Amino acid sequence: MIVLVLVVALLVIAIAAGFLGSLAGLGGGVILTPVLVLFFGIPFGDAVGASAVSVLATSTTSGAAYVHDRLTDLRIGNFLQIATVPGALIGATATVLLAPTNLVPVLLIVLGLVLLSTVPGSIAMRHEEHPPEGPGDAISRRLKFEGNYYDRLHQRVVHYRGQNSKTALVVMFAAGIVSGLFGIGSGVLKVLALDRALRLPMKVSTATSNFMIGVTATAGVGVLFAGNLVLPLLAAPVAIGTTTGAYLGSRLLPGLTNRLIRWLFVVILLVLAVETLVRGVAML
Amino acid sequence: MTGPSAAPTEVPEDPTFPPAAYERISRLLRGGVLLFLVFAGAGMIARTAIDPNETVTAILANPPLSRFASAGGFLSALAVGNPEALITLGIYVMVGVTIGRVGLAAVDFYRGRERSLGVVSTAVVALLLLGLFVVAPFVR
Repeated sequence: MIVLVLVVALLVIAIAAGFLGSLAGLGGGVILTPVLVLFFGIPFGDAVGASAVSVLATSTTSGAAYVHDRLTDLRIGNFLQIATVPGALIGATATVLLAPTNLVPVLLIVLGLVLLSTVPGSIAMRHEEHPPEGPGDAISRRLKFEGNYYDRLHQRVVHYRGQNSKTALVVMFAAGIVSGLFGIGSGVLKVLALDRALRLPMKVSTATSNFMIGVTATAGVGVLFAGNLVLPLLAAPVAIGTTTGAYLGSRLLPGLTNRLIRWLFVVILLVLAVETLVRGVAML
Repeated sequence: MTGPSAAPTEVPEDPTFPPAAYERISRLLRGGVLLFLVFAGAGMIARTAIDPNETVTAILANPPLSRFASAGGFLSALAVGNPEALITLGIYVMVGVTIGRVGLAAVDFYRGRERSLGVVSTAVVALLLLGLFVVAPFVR
């Protein structure tokens, strides 16, 4: 394949991934690493590097809007990054060390399993719009993990308070490792920690998760870059494409019902998970 | 129970993070994305235009990092308009912006006398810098 064809193809695929991911509320980064490996023949490590840069760019773009709307909980987000950042450093270091070895099939199988495990959560996405507010735990009370936001749909101010901070920290550490290892946002894991453990309202959970994804990706990108796994000519079209797609998705169709798109995205995710698993097993 | 506050359309102001603090972080992020798109876009177009028929295999076999390993090498490449150095600059901007946004939050926490969260945010910045300047050279 020649460079011109690669760049144009990557731009198109990345715009579609960012657009669909944005409409489905799942982020497009999760499908980029397997697509780059399976359909473009990009080596695993280089695919992870390009995908990580795209996750960083997309998170920064949507993060700007969420922070502007004051939906991001900066207290909780900054606190949980103390777990995701070391996780991402460990994950990215593992990728740099393992990518040149003959353990790539194992990494592909693990990636396939991670994608598969993402599917049920992506189908359900059982966000509670306004979960019942509990008393909080010692950490959340001490660090004031509570706040307010204006809910445009319900036209009222909603108050919330975080719970189970320690559980959230553990889940976030795991999310960081997965992010660093595969160059994906791990949004599903992060939302799991914020929704299920901390019991944050849906909008705050999504915005805070998005804010954190960029910081986690930064930790991974630095290590992947040093490991020679961020190739500028791969990273640029993928990052520009997903950023453009995510921007278009969030701007052009804000009122669209996204159930069908989410199902389409989940089917793509499922196919990629199975393909990645099969490829990994075949390479053993 | 979660419910509406006394003033249903006015979000009570957080003394640590007044609207201006959110706006500051949002502006930083928007500026970072814009610079990234300009640098990475220009670099991508220029790099593709140099030799559109170059094979992907050749590019994969010759990663540019070896030339950018030192600050001097990177700046020299940037000075002569090396397209890959330009894309790399865009990525550096994004990394810098992300570290900057955590740093800004840390400053706001200290200003708001929330020392614990100020320390946590400072630790996150330290971890990110540790990754860049200790872990990264280790894996290089």
